[in-house]
Amino acid sequence: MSCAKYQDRLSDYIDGLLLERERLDVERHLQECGNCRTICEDLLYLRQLSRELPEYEPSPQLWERIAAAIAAETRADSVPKRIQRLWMRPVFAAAAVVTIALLVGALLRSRSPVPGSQEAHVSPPVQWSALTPSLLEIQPTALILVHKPTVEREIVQQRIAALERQIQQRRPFWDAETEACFRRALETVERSLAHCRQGLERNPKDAVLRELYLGALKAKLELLKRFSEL
Amino acid sequence: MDYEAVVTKTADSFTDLELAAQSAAGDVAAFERLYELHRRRVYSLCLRMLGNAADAEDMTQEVFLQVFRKIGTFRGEAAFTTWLHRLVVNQVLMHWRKQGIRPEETTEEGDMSEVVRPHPLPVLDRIALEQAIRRLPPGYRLVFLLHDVEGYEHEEIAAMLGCSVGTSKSQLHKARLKLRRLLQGEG
Repeated sequence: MSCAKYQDRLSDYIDGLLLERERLDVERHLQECGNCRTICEDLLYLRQLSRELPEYEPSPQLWERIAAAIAAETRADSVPKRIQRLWMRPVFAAAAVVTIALLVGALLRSRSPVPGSQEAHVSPPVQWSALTPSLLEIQPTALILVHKPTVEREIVQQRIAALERQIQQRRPFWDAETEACFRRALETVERSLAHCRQGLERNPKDAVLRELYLGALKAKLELLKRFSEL
Repeated sequence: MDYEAVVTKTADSFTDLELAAQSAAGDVAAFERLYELHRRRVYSLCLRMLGNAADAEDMTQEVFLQVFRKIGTFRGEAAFTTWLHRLVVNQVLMHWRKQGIRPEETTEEGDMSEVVRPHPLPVLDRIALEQAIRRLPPGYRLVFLLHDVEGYEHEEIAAMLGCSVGTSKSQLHKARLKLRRLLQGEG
């Protein structure tokens, strides 16, 4: 074989990509041919130097430019789309539902009507505007649901029952983490529902309590919906 | 999942995959951490491909914007750096297309059959090597940088460039021989 043919193989040789017999063949030639040996040594030297080349640092302002461009895109990209993506994740869904359920519980406790009194009927309306902005951003859907007590409770309860049946079929296939996440979220929602029911037993005509109960039911519906897809 | 452990984990200890997942959920601080970890490699590759700092910064910016847009598609099947470099390569190829450069036309057919000068290379410094790399034809330069500087295997380079492993090997060998000739002062 000519030197040119051996030289064609030198890169594969130094990178260790030749078959055993090819490697031995090249090594035999290198022992005999000073020119090819020189070229081989140069290629090794170049490869070594190239591996030691440093990394360069961009200007400190580059991140500011990137962050500004991201902020501009994020504003342009509709916020609901990003929230939808976030909401699609079961863990976030469960967390948001739990937040809503806890909020309902907190509102119930803050009202804490004295048994037998009519305070609940005359108490000022719940200050929805007092909700933290971050919560409003996380789950606008749930807030709308809480705001619209006109949705019939029976319809929601029927959907919940249907989803519960669906989840019972799928639940055996969940992994332990999904199961634990679901159970924790459901327990919190059920606690809120139980508080609402107790309050409504005492004051069946309490409009705010009915709203809160509907909100908690909707939170449960949302939770079941997300986990029924798993 | 141990939620407390996650909460107490410092930003420095998150893996690329964890940071990518947090970024995909809209956590800009996690994305900034990813940028801090990888900015030098991306910028250095862009700088060596484009030859000047201003263009390299523009391309680095575009690459990280692409990363931000697509971070939700990163599932961790490959290393994050491989995924990231694929985006860099795409940007480079797009840049060439805009300039009317076709990398497949820069292979300089005939290089292989040329007589390779036998006299050895002098002792080189880094600056001479950087300058010679910049003088490589774009197609050679990209494969050379990905293999010899960034350390990718031919299979990975072929996947990034959409070419065969044989083409990647051939381009690398031609690039090394061309580089040697440039450093011998023979252009």
